[in-house]
Amino acid sequence: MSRFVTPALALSPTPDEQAAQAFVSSLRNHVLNPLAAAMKARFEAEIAPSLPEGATGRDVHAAMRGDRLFRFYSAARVKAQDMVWASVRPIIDRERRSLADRFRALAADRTTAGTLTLDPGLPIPKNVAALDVHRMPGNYHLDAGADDLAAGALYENGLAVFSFGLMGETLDDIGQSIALWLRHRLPDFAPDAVLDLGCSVGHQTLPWKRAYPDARVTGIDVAPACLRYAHARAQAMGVEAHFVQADATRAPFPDASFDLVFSSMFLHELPKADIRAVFREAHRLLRPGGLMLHYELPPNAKLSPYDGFYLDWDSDYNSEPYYRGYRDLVPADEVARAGFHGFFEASVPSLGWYGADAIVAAADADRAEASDRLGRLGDGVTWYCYGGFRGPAA
Amino acid sequence: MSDFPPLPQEARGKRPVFFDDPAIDTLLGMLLELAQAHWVARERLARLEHWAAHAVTSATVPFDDCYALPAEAAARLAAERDSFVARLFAPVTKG
Repeated sequence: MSRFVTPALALSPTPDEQAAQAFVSSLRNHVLNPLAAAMKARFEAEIAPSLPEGATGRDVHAAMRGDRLFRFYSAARVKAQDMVWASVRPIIDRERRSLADRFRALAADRTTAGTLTLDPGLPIPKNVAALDVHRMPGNYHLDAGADDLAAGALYENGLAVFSFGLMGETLDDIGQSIALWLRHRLPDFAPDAVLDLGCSVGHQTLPWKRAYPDARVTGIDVAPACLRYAHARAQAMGVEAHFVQADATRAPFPDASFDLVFSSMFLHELPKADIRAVFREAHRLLRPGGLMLHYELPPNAKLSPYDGFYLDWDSDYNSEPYYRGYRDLVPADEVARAGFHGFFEASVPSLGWYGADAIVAAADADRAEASDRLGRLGDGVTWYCYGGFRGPAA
Repeated sequence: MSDFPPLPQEARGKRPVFFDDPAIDTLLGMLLELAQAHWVARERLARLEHWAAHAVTSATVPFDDCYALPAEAAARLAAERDSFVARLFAPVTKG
C-alpha cells in the first residue's frame, strides 16, 4: 500500500505484504460501509422504537451492546485496527535503517529553506505517553533517537492502509479541502504566518503553504520521530515548512506571532483542561484579527443520538479516552471562553470525494450541515471545522 | 537488517471483548487472520497464473517479486477481494 505514501519515504513491501495490506483495507472498507449501514438499519428497525424520548448517544450504546450485529461490527473493527499496524510494522523493522539514511539525506538537502527544531528535554504529556492511541503500538512519541523515523513511518503507512483512499492521494484531503474552503470563505485573508498544532507527520500542514505561498508555515508536535518524518516529507515534496518539537499548551513563540492557528484531529486527543489551555495559547499567539481554525469531529450536539454513539465507538474501544469528553463540549462556548469572537462552523466537502466546485459552493453557503457523513470516515465524508477571530489589541 | 530495536508488536491497554463468550472474539480474530493469509495466497496464485499464461512463453520475464499484474487484471482482483470480504460477512448481515 505504498500508493498514498510519500514516494521518497515509501517502503518496499513484498507482493505478499502488499496483498496482506490490501486485504486489511478491504476489510475496513467493508466494516465501515456496508456492515455499519446494516448495523444502523438494525438500530432503526428494532432498537430505536423502544428507546425513550430524549435518548442520548450513551443510551443508544447501552441498547446496542447486546446486539449481534454491533458485536460483530465491533470485534471485526478492533481486529482490523490491529491488522493495520501489523501489516506495516515488519516492513518498517526491516527498513528502519534505510529510512534513517533517507532522513539524513533529505534533511541535508537545501531544496527548500524548511527547518526542523527538536527539543530532547521536552516532557511528553501524559495523554500521549500513557496511551497507544488508536491501538498504534508505541504511539506517536516512540523514538530511538538519531534519525529514527519509525513512528512517523508507522503512522503514514498505517494511515494509507487504514483510510482506504478516503484521505486523498497524499493523505492530506482534510488540509487541502479546508485550505481551499478558507480561501473562498475569506478571500481577503492572507496570513503571513500559519501554525499547525499537533501536526504529527505534517499531512495537513503542507496544504497551507500551497494555499498561501508567501506565508511562513510552522508545525508543532511533541513526537520527535514524527517531526523528523514531517521534515523529510516536506523536503521530498519541495514544500517549505518549519517543524518544531513543542507542546501546544505552551508553544515557544512570542505573543501575536501568527495570523492563522490551525489544528486537525488534534483537540480530541486532549483532556478538557488542555483543550482550554490550547485555546488560550492560540489567542496569545494570534495577531489582532487573526484566525483560530480547527478541523475536528463534530460535537454531539450536532448529531443524532445514533450518530453520536457511532462516533464515540472509538472512545470506548479504540484507545481514544478523550474523544467523548471533547465531543460533549460546545465549540461556540469554548471559542468564546478563550476570548475569540465571530464563531463559525462549517461542513467542508472532501476534495477527493466531491471536487473543488462543491467546496466553493460550501464556502458560499457558510453553514455546517448535520448529516451522518459529517466527520465520519466512510463513503461521502465531509469535514467539520470551526473557529473564531482574535479581536483587536486592547 | 536494521540496527534499531524491534518495534513493539502489541498495543498497550486492555483489548476489548464484545461477545458474552470471549472465545467468539478470539475465533473471529483467527478467522480474519486466516482469511488474510488465504488472500495473500490468492494474489500470489493470480500473479503466477498470469505469468504462466503471458510471460513464460517469451522466457524473458522471470516470476519474482517484481512481476506485477497489469492494471486491468489488478483491478479485477481488487473487485474479487472486496467480494470475498463481503461473502465472509454475509451470514452476519443476513442472519
